[in-house]
Amino acid sequence: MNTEPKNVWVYADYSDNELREVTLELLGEAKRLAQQKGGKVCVLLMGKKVQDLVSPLGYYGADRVYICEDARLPSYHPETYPRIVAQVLTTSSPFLVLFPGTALGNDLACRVSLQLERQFLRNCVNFEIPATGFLHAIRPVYNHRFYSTEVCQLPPFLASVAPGIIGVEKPDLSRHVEEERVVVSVLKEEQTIREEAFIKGDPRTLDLTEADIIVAGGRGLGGPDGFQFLQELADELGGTVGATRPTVDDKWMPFEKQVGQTGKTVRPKLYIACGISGAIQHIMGMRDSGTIIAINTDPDAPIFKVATLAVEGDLYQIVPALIGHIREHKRQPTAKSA
Amino acid sequence: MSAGLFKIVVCVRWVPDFYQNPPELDTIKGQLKEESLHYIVNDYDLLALEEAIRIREALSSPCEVTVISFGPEPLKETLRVCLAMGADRAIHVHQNGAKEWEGLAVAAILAKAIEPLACDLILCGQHSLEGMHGMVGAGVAHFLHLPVIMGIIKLEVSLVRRRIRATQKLEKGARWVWECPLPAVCTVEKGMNVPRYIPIHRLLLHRRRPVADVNIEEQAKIIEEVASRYGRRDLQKIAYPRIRPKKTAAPTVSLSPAERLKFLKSGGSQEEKKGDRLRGNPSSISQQVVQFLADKGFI
Repeated sequence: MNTEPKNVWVYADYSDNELREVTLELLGEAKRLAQQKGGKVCVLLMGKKVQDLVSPLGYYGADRVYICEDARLPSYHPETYPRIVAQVLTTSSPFLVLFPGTALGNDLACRVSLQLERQFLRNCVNFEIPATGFLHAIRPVYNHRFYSTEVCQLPPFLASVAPGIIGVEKPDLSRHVEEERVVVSVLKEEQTIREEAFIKGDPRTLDLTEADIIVAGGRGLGGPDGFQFLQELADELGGTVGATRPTVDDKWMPFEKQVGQTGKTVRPKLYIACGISGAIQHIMGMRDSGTIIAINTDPDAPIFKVATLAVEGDLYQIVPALIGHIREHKRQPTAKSA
Repeated sequence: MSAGLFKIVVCVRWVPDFYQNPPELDTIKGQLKEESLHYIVNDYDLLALEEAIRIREALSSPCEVTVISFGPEPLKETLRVCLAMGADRAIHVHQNGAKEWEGLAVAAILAKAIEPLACDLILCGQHSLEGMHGMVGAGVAHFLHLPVIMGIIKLEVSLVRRRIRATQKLEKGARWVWECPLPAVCTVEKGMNVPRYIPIHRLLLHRRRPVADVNIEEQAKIIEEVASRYGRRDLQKIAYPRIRPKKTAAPTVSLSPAERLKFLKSGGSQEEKKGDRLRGNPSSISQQVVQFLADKGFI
């Protein structure tokens, strides 16, 4: 090859026809690295129907989107997808390819790297491009205790970036993006791994550490039936029910649902604490949550100190009203649009 | 493959003990202090071994669990822990040169050692806690030309159909179930099982169990070949984690681009006021809570 590879590629991950946050983060990082390298940001977008996602990719930094759209394409397959990605990457010879550090992103990147016969750097947190043309990647090692700097020498470099580390940049709505269609042969006959089923995550059975929204209850609920009451609120919000240690000790809830020092440490985006006074052992397990709403009758409850929104009152009066208002709120936008 | 005996190979790796004797860092050299390293079996590999033992216990036909590892001589102690846990046989692949950081080279050497065993199923940990690359499982499969399913939390083996069904763990409770013919490789994710407790008398009992030695003579050549084909990946230094840069406001994907822009302009979550307190009539309070949730984009 006579030209030095310069372009930085991003593999676009999306769900329910919306780009995932991690894709937007990758675009920002790709933009920075491509500027440094003097190349372009290219995006590979694959799926059954992906046209709607092209312009948002441009807002966040993509210069060119390679669209691989085929109605026969499954949503993911551990043999078909890596083959297509490897095929596209071989013809375009990029400098660096960024994959989202999700389970599927890592799965794909790992397989692509073996097909391309290149190294793969998992869950990086930062990149440096020295003048040598190598890639220095900084990534966690030793059980996240230390960070290592690793040097790769042979481009294209493949790396995945853990979600939530870089942050999303401000979009530029005036940006336009070049489109290019990629035609690939879907090699169906060569599959040895067969898809059996895809099980969508159910918030009711979700592990607390993975949940985005947690509705937790304490001894203020008064009895095991209180949790069914909270479940109703959790279902409305698409959340998972959590519990404090006293309620777990009293067998109102199973141990897996315990939040706190002896249970699980959680960092959901929204944590609603109902009837929890806020013992330090509990607060230690949830204080890093994004938004905390605490409902308690005691105006001096320690939980209010960490709460973003403190609600003073009886949860048995507030929660039903809350469920009612949420339902009402959900009906409103549909009525407007109709 | 063999008609009667179902052979499972579990690839294990020893890693520094992060729990009881955490390793210390020499910040000047940018590497760990050699004397501070105490080795144990990698967490994920214990899950893989536990799963292999459970499969053996569940199968009605004869089954053999072999653990295999690549490393220097003291590694045998680690392998004996695996034997104490319930593995039938242990193979130690000798390491002649310096410590190998590069997962693909290790995979190539392990693949070379596994090939003559003619096994039906290979289980590995999803990644080692040391390097955290997660390349060995996929690499072994690649070099042996076998299918691989990564990050699984459930595994069913059907001997009659000679197929496995594995459930891959995705984010937010989503799962993907794959099926593939044997022989195959699976890498095991946290949440698969809880490894059994190894009582001290079992550890003592297996203290002198023999561990088979395998010496791959051409390992230096393999390492060299992998490096030239796949490109070198060198460890430059190890450092303490830097303090994470301040979080940028990250609007959720559920917002439209215009709304996201508004969110970002407003400064996002950084502007939020702590300690708002609502009291009074439950209905009006909950109205305000719903408004709060709606403003934050939760409903």
